[in-house]
Amino acid sequence: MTRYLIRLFAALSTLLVLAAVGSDARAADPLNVVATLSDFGKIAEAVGGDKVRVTTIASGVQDPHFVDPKPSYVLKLRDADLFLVNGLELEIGWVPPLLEGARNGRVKPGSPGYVDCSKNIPVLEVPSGQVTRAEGDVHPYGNPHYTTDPLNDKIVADTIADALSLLRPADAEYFATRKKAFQTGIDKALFGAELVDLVGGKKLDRLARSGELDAFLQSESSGGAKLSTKLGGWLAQMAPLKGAKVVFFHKSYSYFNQRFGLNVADYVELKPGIQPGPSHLADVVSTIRRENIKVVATHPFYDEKIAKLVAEKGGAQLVPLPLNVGGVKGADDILSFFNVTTSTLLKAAGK
Amino acid sequence: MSIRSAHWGWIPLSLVAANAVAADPPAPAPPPVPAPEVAPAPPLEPQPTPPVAATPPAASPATSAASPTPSEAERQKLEAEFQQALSGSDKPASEPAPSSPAPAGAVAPSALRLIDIAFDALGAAGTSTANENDLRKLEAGGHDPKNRGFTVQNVELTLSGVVDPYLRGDSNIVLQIDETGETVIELEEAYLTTLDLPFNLQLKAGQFFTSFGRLNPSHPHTWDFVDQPVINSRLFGPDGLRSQGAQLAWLTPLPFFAELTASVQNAHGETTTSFRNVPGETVAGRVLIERPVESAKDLLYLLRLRTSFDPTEELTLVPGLSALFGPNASGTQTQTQIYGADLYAKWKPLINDQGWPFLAWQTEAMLRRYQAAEVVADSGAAVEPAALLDDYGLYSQLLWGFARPWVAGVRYDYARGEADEFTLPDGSYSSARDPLRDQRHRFAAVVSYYPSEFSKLRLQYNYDHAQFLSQEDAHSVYLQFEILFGAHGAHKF
Repeated sequence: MTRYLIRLFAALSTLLVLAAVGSDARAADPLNVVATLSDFGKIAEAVGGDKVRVTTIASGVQDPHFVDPKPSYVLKLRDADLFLVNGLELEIGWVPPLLEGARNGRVKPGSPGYVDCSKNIPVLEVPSGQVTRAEGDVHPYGNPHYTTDPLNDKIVADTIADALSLLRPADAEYFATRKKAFQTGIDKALFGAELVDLVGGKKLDRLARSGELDAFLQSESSGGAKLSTKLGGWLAQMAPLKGAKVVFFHKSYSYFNQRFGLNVADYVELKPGIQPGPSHLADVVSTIRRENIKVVATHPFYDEKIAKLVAEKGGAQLVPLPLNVGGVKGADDILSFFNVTTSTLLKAAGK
Repeated sequence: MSIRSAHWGWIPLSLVAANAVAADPPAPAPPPVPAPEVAPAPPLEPQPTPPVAATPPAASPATSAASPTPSEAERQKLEAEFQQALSGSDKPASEPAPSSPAPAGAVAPSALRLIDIAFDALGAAGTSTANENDLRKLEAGGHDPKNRGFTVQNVELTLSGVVDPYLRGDSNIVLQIDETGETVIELEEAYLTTLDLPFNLQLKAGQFFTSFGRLNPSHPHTWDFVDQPVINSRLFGPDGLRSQGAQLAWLTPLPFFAELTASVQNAHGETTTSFRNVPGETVAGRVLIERPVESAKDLLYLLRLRTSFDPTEELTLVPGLSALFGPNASGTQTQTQIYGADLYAKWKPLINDQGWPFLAWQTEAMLRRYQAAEVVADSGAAVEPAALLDDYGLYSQLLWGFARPWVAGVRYDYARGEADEFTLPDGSYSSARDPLRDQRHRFAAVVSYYPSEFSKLRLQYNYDHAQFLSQEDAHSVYLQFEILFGAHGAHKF
């Protein structure tokens, strides 16, 4: 019996090796890119064009903190040439077992094929001093949801273009051109095409990040009109909401809120990852009433019952926003993600 | 088997360890404050985060004061001062800690991740209609609750880390308090795993759980019930089947997930009960002998195939087959074979609230074929001829995460040995009276509550029907609790 089984095992192994040799077509183009989250997948498609084949592990509707490390994901990583992760420990619950299972040296941390997209991102909310789990699910490296700022998506495009060029130096120019187009697209959508043409995306980006954009647009003029009249895009659309107080479920939009000047008065979740208690929820409701807050923003994967109740009791509107591309209908790529997000917020606030 | 494979943000203990070991010279570690109620960061206040300069910070983590521009640094310092002045009352708790984690706006400094440490404690309180003597036979698992009153089921210290570019190391050190009140320390596991073998291979070597089925290689705190299934206790002993050896696991290049595992391990000792268990122990009334290793046939061999399919995006199936071959110590030439089939099916909607809801079904069936040597009396005459003893059983469990953070579940257990009766030198043997071979049914119902990923409270009811019990039926109730602190090893699916 034993001998028979061992023989069977040997035969099976031989068969599998033959199958492997037969199916090894990896040496050919395009590069096999695997992204943990849809945002990175979309940016990789934008930058990589037809030189990449992109697979995304978590779909945009999922909570990126809570993804099961399914064996089928191990398979995706087994065949990857480039692996894009969010980093900042967002995926710490599921990426390490996938990497270990995939046994793929090309995408191991430390290899050129492993790319942490948080590289070069100015990270917000890095806790200082001592942090313990008494505070719940605290991200020790800071807030990981940086793709909710369109300017950060431009940095991610840089990172991905660098990684692709390192793997395929011959196509570096191709990637650089596509990256530039993607970044210009973001600039125009954020600041308006006219302003980008007048001032240049690079300068606007720098001014917006340092908080000097408004002052600059007020002080400078072009063709007899103040530059502030030339501001278009999402920033102009969102201007009525600047400084507006809102309530969020989780600290998932800090980067977005910084970019567009929204002011979060409170969070439904008192401590991340811990179910909020009733006294806190009552506090949130009274904050909403006191501050006359119009918007309680959440994501489709959070407990809708609680969020809805808070919004109803406070007299605000419950606004489901996507956290990643694909998170709600219509948010199918980076640009439409922000189109949907900004228009949803404006509508809910009655602006 | 991760009903909570989800992550809750893990503060790497390694950070602390790294600071302790590779103390950053420019950052004299602040004296460890004797754990005062660390003022929780006021998360509710919308912090007016200072706008951030666009310049990508220099990639030099050592100088965490490397703020983009000096004015920015000054501004942040000023803000820290204001904050301290504003917070007034709590003077020492909110030390500005200028050189610790980077201020908002800088790239987080990298930390040398040397070792992950975790401590897990699992205990139970409960009672049973079976008396304590019978209870310890009903609950034959080493981590099962076996007292009327309280049981320390498992206290585990886990140390792990990456050794170098080629290897990682893992170890689990277990402490238990046994029925006599004695504290027992066990090196449950200590092994290396390769990180960089070619051809999709992975080698594991050291002391480790044999990769048979789903439950055997898992640790008690990841179990979905208070106790282990009856058939596991019977075939793999109180502590599970584990030993010293090496394992090679190959991720096949097939278009679906298929992993082939083969291992060779020592077959002796009390953690290999179906094989060369400790001399003097008995199996089916036969006293085990000393049986040294004479050839490669006297080691323990495992073959396992694990596959996985996703029929839909929300449903995952993980079927597996396992087989074990090794010597047993009832005689000098006797062998044991164990075969198993397992299936795990999990449904979880894509849009889920931190892992809830879900439905998870897990079943394992196992068969052991044990060649028992002939029994010879002192006179030299054969009293009982050699026999092939078959033991089999299964468990099937359904877990339903119906509402965060609650999970309800049921499990059915069945185990029996083929009816065997022998005449042995010191009396007769009947499998019906052997608590490790009689016919058993168990029905268990469980409800678990998870205040967070790192603690749980669980209530379980067991109905046992066992041939060996004089009254045959037993009812038991257990309350289990767990705390886990430190780094958390990755969950398996």
